[in-house]
Amino acid sequence: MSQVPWFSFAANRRGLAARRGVRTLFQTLVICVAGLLAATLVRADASNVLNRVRTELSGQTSVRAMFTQEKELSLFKQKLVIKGRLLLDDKGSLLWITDEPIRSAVTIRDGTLRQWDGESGHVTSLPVKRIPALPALMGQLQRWLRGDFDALVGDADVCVEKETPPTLVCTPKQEDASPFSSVTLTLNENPFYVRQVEITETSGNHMTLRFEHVELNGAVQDSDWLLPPKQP
Amino acid sequence: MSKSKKLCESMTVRGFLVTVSWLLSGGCASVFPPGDPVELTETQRAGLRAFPGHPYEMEQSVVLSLRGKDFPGLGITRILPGEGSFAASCLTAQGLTVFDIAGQGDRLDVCRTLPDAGDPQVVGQAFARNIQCVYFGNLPDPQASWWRDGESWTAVSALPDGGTLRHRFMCANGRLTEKCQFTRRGRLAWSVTFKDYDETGPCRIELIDRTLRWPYELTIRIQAWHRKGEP
Repeated sequence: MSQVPWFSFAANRRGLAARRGVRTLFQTLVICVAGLLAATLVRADASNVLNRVRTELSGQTSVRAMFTQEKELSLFKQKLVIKGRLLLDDKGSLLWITDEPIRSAVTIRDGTLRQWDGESGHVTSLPVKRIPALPALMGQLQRWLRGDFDALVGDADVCVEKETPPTLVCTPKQEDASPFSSVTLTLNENPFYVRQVEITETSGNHMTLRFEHVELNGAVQDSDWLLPPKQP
Repeated sequence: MSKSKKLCESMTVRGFLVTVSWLLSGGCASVFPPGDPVELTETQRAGLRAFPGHPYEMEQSVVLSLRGKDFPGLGITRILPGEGSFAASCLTAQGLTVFDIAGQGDRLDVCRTLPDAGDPQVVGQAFARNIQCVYFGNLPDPQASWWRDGESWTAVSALPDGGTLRHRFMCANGRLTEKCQFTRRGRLAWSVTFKDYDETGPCRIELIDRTLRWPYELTIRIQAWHRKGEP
């Protein structure tokens, strides 16, 4: 048996380390390429699904629905459940009626927010610019329901969680600047509409909004926007 | 009559009129409430009540009235009377979180508010103070002086800053009906009225807060009570 000099052993170790280094580098590259490829595919999928959603929803002239909203508050164990109705049209008007646990309604039309309190019967009008957060949320919701994701895609990463039914998860690119850490939209097919919106707030609060008895492209009267609202 | 004397008289009359109009407008209050001094027995003192003595949670509807506009909302509040701690979340009727606050006494451990609501610390502290006004300190100081006016007892307690705190109770059942704080100059800082009692406590609470730039009213209606830990 030939004697292996210590330096050759050391050289071997160096060679082994070098080979391992190359393998690790190769593996990293493969993972990176696979990751990039996967990301591209997901983006392509998201883009396809978004295009489909946009096409399907953009033709809608009005949406009338009932909703159940469950709010889980990070400071409490029990959920708050809110039930009500909504109407939105293709001119950007929105009517949001809360029937339970309190009676209230809000309309956003022509830059004015009008709010009715069922207990006092008072109607309050405010220019939308005076309280931006509520109209912003309502406006965002309105865009999601109409499939107008263009602004959203600019501010958030959108990925497709499921293709059937289409389920989109939006996460803000800058979480610090957003009150939401994620928004998940689940769509209904045949007919096509947003069936559920789940919002996780940065505060840890979580909201699930489910739409039922959805009526698409129905006639909208001027009287639909009057406050107090019509009885269900 | 000399000019200076006329001026002096005119100023005295004007000062008198200003004082009278200020008093008539409710700008300040006497240290003594209407009625006659009275001493409560131990049994009567033991019967005074407002909210439960055990930990509890409430689901509420809330209307904030500010500068002639009403903002309805929903809330959940947890009170731990023994520890003096609280937690509260308030939402708009559309489910948007207006604030989440939690704390003990004057200390705020959690304070998250809607960006539109203003400085979170100022807004959080204001609502925390309102919670203190409504749910804590509902029994008068043992050194308070007591007065009886018709069917009500009123206790007047002196505050360290020179102001006074008044509690008014119904003589018939010992229920707290009103609590208000006056500054050392006799101006009303805030008041709370407690109405529509059920077996647990008052189901309608109206608070007027005049301590900030714009006075506001909060009308709280209790929808459900829960003992803490119960569903």
